[in-house]
Amino acid sequence: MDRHSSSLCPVEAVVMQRPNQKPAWIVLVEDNPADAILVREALDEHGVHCDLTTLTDGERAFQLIERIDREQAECPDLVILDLKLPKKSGFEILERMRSSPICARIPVVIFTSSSAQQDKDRAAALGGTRYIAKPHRLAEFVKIGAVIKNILEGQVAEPEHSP
Amino acid sequence: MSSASPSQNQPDLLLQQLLEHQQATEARERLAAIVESSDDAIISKNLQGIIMTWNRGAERLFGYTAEEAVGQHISMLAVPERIDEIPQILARITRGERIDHYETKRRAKDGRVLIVSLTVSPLRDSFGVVVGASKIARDVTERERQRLALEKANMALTRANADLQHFAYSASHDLQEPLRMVSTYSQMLQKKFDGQLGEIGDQCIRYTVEGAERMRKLLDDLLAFTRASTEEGSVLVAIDANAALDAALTRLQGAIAESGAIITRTSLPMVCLHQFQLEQLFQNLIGNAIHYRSEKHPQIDVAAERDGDHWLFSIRDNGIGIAPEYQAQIFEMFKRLHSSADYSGSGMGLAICQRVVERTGGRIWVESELGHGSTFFFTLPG
Repeated sequence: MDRHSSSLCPVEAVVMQRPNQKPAWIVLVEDNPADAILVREALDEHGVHCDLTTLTDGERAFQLIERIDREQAECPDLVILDLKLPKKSGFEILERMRSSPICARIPVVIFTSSSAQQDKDRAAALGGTRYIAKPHRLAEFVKIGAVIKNILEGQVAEPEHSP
Repeated sequence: MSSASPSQNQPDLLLQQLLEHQQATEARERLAAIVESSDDAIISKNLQGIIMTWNRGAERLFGYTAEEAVGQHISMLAVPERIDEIPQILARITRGERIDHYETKRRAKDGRVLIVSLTVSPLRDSFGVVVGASKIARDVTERERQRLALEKANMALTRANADLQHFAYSASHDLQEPLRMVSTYSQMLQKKFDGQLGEIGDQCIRYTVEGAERMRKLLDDLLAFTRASTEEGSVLVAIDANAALDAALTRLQGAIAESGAIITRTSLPMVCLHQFQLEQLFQNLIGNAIHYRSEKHPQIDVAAERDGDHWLFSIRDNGIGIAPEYQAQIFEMFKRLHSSADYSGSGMGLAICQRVVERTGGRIWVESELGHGSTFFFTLPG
């Protein structure tokens, strides 16, 4: 899986925001292409300098984590995780990530249509970084870009955590 | 004279005996008439189970005439699956026991199976020895049929109700997802193409955006209504109504600021209700008071007073008021008095309020005069 095969954020954003930095690698696990487009829109809107890889089911996310563990490969900088996914749920993926020696500490933003308290509690218990219910208003939806930008910027100060 | 001789008394005694005899006969005849005219089947049998008497009620119930029945064994009324029952009853009677309101099945002459309630008591001779039994059989077939039908109807209703609630819940829940697509993507169109599609194009998009927004509000309210109907179980603890009002006012602060509403409140009590439900009550009622305001500045007074073992809450406004003929209707689901162009709303707010209040055993009502404001009252256990 070559992360650089995924589409990039607009060049202007890259140049304006972080001219000297390598783009962040964000993995989005989302089976709804409409939401994937909106997430991309949100990241663009906030000039998040990133490579975005979209995985459309839970199994693929498992395979990615397993490959990273096996090959001691580079880990994404952030994962955006839907909960209701084909094959493996977002909770299963989160649990699997937290038990991975390499991916255990990367930020995971849960981004789901569920606003049920029990889902929020479970996500927190499994070590989710943020929990965001998908909003109906576009203006609200786009704010996820700002949230991710903030998390990544907090992250940038730390030394490179991937080999 | 009072000192009458025995010889003079003789005819009186005879007369008296005759009279007593006549009275006894009359009493017996009266009893026989009562037995005869009874709707219940009244049967007597000896200890061998041979039928000795058979009244009209028995003829009507079992279909055999007295001529056909008397002299026959009582087992002619038995249903095959309860064939052992009759000897058992006879054995108990022989021991001098009585059987009260025993519900069982018997077969009529035409083969119909009847459900009867039996009372069987021992008949004794003048020495007190049990010589037979009297049996009163009451036909409870119809009652039993009705009871079963009612039970069945109740079960069907409970199931239908549960299905409906489940349906409403999942409908409002699951419909949110595709609706979110419509909302966000119509907003996306608006954002990207506003002003580029001509006036008609802009209008189409605007109506789509607004329609999706109204739909979302409606689904949210439907969900809230179903939750108000199904929120079960958890033991209610007293909660502070002041805190619930604070929370509701915080959520309404946009509308309050925009309308310049002035809200006064007395100190509120502790009440037994889920906190979020009380918040919902305040939010809906105060929200309505602001929404349906007149030209005057909205003035809303929230108060509570003790009323027996309940608390009576009131929310008074100086809004447009409600004509008397509509005051009951407004609590119905989806019932709205105004076009959405004049006053928007889903028509669910007061239905939710009513459901929440009535589930606590309380009441909700309105007192209002058109053009002179409304006061909503509700009672809650405290």
